[in-house]
Order: sequence, then C-alpha cells, then structure tokens
Amino acid sequence: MTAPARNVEILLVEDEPDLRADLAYLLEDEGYRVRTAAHGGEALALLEAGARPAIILLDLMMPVMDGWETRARLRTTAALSKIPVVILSGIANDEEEIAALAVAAYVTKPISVAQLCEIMDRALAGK
Amino acid sequence: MLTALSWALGIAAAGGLGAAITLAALTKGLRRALAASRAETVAAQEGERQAREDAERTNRTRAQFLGMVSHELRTPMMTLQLQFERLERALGARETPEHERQILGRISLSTRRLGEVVESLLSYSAIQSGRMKMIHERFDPGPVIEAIVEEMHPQAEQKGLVIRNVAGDSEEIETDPRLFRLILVNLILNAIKFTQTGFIEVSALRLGRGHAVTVRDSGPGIPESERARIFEPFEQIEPLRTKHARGMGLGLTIVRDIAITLGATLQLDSDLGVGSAFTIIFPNDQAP
Repeated sequence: MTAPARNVEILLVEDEPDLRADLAYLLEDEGYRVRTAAHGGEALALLEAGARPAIILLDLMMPVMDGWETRARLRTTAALSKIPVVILSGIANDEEEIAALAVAAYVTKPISVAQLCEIMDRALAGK
Repeated sequence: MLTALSWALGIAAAGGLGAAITLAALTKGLRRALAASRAETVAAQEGERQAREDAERTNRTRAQFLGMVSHELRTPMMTLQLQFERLERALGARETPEHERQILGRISLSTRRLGEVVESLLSYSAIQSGRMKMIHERFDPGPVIEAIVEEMHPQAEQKGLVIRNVAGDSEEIETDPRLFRLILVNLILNAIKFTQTGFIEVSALRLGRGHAVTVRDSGPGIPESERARIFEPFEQIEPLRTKHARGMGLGLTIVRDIAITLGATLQLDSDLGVGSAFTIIFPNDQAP
C-alpha cells in the first residue's frame, strides 16, 4: 500500500496500551508522524515541552486526566486552543455534549483506519 | 379546606348559644383535621421528592453503567479490528497459504459479527433506558449503503446468497449517520438470516416526502398474522430449540425503535413464498 503524503504530526492520547500501539503503527503506515500519550496529563506535558501536533486524537475515558478535562485545558491555553481535536471514544454522546467539547470531529469506536484517516484529513483541511 | 371550615363554623354559629360547646369542639376538631391534612400534604410532598430523587439517582447510575459497558465493549472491539488490520497489512506483502487466508477471513467475519451484536445490544439498552444519543448530519447515503453492502458480502456469500446494491437516487439526507448504519445493517442481517436461497437487494429512492431506503429479499415472506410480532423483542417465528436462524431476535426491534427515534417511517411489504421488503422513509424536513 502506498501511503499518501500526509507527513504531519498527530498526538494520539489513548490509555489502552494495545489500542494505542496498534493505532500508532497503522497511522504511521498511512503516512502520519505519530506521538503518543497514555492520558491527558502526559499529553499536556508533551505540549508544554514544545510539541506542536497538527491534530490531536483524544480518547475521553482515561485515568489521571480524562479527555473532557484535557479538552478544557487545551481550549484555555492560547498556544494550544487552535490545534484541531478529534475525539475517539467508546461512548456515544448527543449533539449538546459534543458541541460542549468544541472539537473538529467526534468518532465512536470501533472505526476503521481508513475512515479515521478520512475524518482526520477533513479536520486538517478545514483548519 | 378553608371554605369547609367557614361553612362548618357558620352552621355551628347558626345554632346559637346552646351550641357554644359544640362550636368550640367542632372548631378544635376541624383545626386538628386541618393540621393533620397539612402534615399529610407535607409528608406526601416529601415522599414524592424522595421518589423523584431516587429515580434520578437510579437513572444516573444506569446511564453511567451503560457508558461504562459501552466503553468496555467498544474499546477491545477496536483493538481486535486494528490488530487484524495490522496482520493483514503484514501478510499482504507475503505469500500466504490459502487455508490460512481462509482462517483469517473467518476471524474477520466473526469479529465483525461480534461488533454488530455489541452495537445492537448497546443501542437496545440505550433505547430502553431512554438514553439514545443522537446527532444530525447531512450526508449522501449512497457511499454509506455501498460500504455496508460491501461489508455484508462475506456473510451473504457464506449462505450462498447474492447481495447487491441497486442504489438509484443519490441525494443528501439529514439524519444520524451511526443510527442510519445500524438500521441498514440490522435489516440486511435480518434478510440474510431468514433467506435460504436467492438475493438481498438494497435500494435508495427519492420520494416527494423523503428518502426511502429499501432492503428486499427473496426469503419465505412473513404471514399477515406475524407482521406485528416480528418487531417485538426476542420474538422469532421459529421456536428457540430448533431454530436455525442465528441471532437474538432484537434486530427488527432495534430497527423499529431507531426509526421512531429518528422520526422515520418503517414499512413492510411481504409476499409469502416470494419475499419481503422493509422500507425506511427518512422525512425531508428534520428538526435541526
């Protein structure tokens, strides 16, 4: 399979180790550069240290710092508030709850890599 | 109550002086009754408040549990799918013996089926607890239908059935894409389940009042007397012990309930010995 020239950095925030590793592997196979964090705290630490991903792929239910809290902190930090966020969650939410997160897209697990890439590319283009 | 009190006092007063003691007793009695009644009202209100709080707490717990179960089921489903995809990509480059490819195909099929059961059960419990989460999106159903038909291919093939998308009209509809998918998947699975030979056909048609999506099969057809029952949960026409159709008997219930949730209409046409056609009509004007 030839990977499209995506060549942008993704920050994948997911607490499930297998899912994190497999998704990172497959997204790299699709041409993205992937950094990972096991929870919101780790993600914010990476960002504070200067990481500037083109997009953040964020799980909601996570230990230490969940996705809601992480999203709220991203929004209130001027340097980070413009980075598009795609939520990848095991729970379905309704319009109001999704709107409150103010994200580029909300995706319910499970989703295929192809579909996820399509959604991320759209989020990246809409920036 | 106050009207009753003044009326009673009026009667008593009309009795004159001789009635003074009676009047005093009556007033006392009425006051007591009034106080008791007030206490009862307060107690009833307190009881109602308590019951409402209990119900809210139960509801919250249930929603939390549903969220937790949903997360715990969907996360490993996604891991399974991703690991399978990794394996496929790794093997893609290599020569793999045919029988190993077949095993992979079966793993993929079972994973997909498990995924559909999980989605159906989660939706069923969400509907039952009145917590079906919904979003509205404008999208062209054509590619979605095409992808689902493609996905269902192996399951139809396993039974020697032909499944085809005769698509037709392509125009955007406004509905929940996840629920749209769930309806279609369940209708197709239902058709595959009950059709022994022949075909399953999916089509989309633009109507004046909305967008119709039909799943037609060459199955046995549904007798008039069974047409209401098949939408009830856990009802299948065959008796459980001898049934050869797989599944929980929830598919059509989910289809019906999601259709109601989405404001869509469900229509069933069936001819014994010829086949059945389930049509969902998504209305043109959805509330935003």
